[in-house]
Amino acid sequence: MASDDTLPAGWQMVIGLEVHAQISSASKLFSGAATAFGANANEQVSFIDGALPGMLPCLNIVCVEKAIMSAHALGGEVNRHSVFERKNYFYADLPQGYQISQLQEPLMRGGKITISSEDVASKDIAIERMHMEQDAGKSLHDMLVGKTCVDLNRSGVALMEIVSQPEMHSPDEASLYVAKLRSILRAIGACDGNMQEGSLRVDANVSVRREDAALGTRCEIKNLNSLRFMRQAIAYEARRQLAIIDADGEVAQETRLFDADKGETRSMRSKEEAHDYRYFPDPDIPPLVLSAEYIASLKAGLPELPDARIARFIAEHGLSLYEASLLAEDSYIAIYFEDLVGKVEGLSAKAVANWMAGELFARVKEHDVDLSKLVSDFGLSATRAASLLSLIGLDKISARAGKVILDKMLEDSTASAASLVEKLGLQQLGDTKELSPLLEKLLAENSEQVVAYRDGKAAVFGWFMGQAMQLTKGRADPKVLSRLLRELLSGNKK
Amino acid sequence: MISLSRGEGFGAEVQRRILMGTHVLSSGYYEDIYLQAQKVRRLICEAYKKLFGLFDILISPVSPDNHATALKKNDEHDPLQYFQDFYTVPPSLAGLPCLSMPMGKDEETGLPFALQLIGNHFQEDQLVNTANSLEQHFKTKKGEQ
Repeated sequence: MASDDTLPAGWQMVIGLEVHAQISSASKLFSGAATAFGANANEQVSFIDGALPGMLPCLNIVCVEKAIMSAHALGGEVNRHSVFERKNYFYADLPQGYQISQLQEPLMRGGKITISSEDVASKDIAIERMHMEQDAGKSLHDMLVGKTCVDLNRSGVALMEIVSQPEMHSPDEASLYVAKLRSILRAIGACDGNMQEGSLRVDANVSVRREDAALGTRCEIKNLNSLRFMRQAIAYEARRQLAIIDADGEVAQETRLFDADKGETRSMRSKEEAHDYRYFPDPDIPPLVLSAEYIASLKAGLPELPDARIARFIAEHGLSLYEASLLAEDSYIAIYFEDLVGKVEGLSAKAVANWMAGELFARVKEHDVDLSKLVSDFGLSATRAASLLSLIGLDKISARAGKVILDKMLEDSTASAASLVEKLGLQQLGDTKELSPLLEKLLAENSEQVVAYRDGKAAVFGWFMGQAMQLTKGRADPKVLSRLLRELLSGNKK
Repeated sequence: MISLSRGEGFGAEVQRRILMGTHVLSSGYYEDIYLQAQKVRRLICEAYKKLFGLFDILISPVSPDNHATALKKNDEHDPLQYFQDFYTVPPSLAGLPCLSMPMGKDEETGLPFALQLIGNHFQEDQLVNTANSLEQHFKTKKGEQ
């Protein structure tokens, strides 16, 4: 852990996170306008989103379903009776003059997220609550000099706000929490978790205290949109607060923003006194009343969750915690992995996992895409990848040849693995009838080395292997080669 | 921008009512005023529920003083102006469908006189049919007087 991330001995960071996750739905929470990312400004704004007089909200039940499923996936308790309230304040990107949210009776209470890693022992972070609310529009201050431009496309998009208890004590724990939350929401299709596009945003509440002392004053850092920035912001803020305390000062409770360029947090510019949001139940929206059967039916329909899948990969496929975490957290990767395991011949699941973690992910990174793009744009479906891996598994080609073939397969998305092997002449030489004469000739031409080996110089074996590999242009099956070489060297005459 | 546009677009009485609404929702006033008002509203709804157990349609005048106050010189702060809503606000609070129909002219003043009909929830068709029958009976349809 970087020294920046920890406080001096005896001091503790206390971190609570409020995560805003956009619900994946075709239309918004209370209007039929589209939610797709990347549209031109103000093209996805219905009369309701624009708060034109007389327009009434209409609840999108798909958003409710996904929120309930998220509640189940997080182990929370779904409230059968919840209420939408108005949170009133004025801002240019809030045409209604209020945000429809939930305060007193949120959709879910309780729940937890389990985090673990090689550095952090397994730990449960409790969740306090989750509620649904509208997203606001976007204010763009840098487009025109002296003016602010408002884009209402995002206005009214459904959000889940998930509030944790302040039980995290390091930037790493916070990062693991958000990553796990993200993978859970992605696994059930409730949120795509794309932080760059703003589908997932984090507000971090940070305070410091001497261990076992009372909680210190906290500051809220708003709108962190990457894990890296979140870690930096938390670390900076904790050190900033500690410096104030060390100088006998008092930390002021305030809302701050993270300046990514400077790596610092700063107080929000025009901060009014504590807002009276005048919450009251929205008179246009009846309370949300859910039957126990309906709630239970959504729980029954949950797909496999990341933690359960990790445990299953360890038990069923013999993977380590690290390998399982790598492959099981993301649904797309997990499905690809199991698809491969089902189709590949001659390789264990663990070997397939190693290949994915090594070769496959390296190619993903190299082409700067994600796995699904590698499949769609480069044609590396599980079936096609399996054909390559089977050639390795059945000893038709060496692992080294496999790397070459893989690159060729990415270059030409229509070429089959087998045809490439033919074309490039990379068939593995594993036939003793072919290898034996070559090796015998090698030994005959290097009788001094043979004597040296039999005299006890074991290292010569490696030299022979190297020479034999060169002779076969790297195509020899190392297992067969090694066995034959040993037999010949130890004096098994023909 | 916000205060300018709202000041420009809304008249004095509207601004007064918006400020009143903001006030009653504010911290410190919500429980005593808004919440209490919501409870009184519930009592009003229950009173109407009892009435509609006995009757199909309720009638009342629309104006409590036959426009006398409305015709006075426009003094914004005359509390009697608020009294104009005496018959129309209660069913509105209860969310009941209402209909106002002209019944002819006041003999003394020559001013139009209107009757309010109040129906039960989702009984708009009965409400309109009743008004239609009354209109035919009293021959008060426009152009037929």
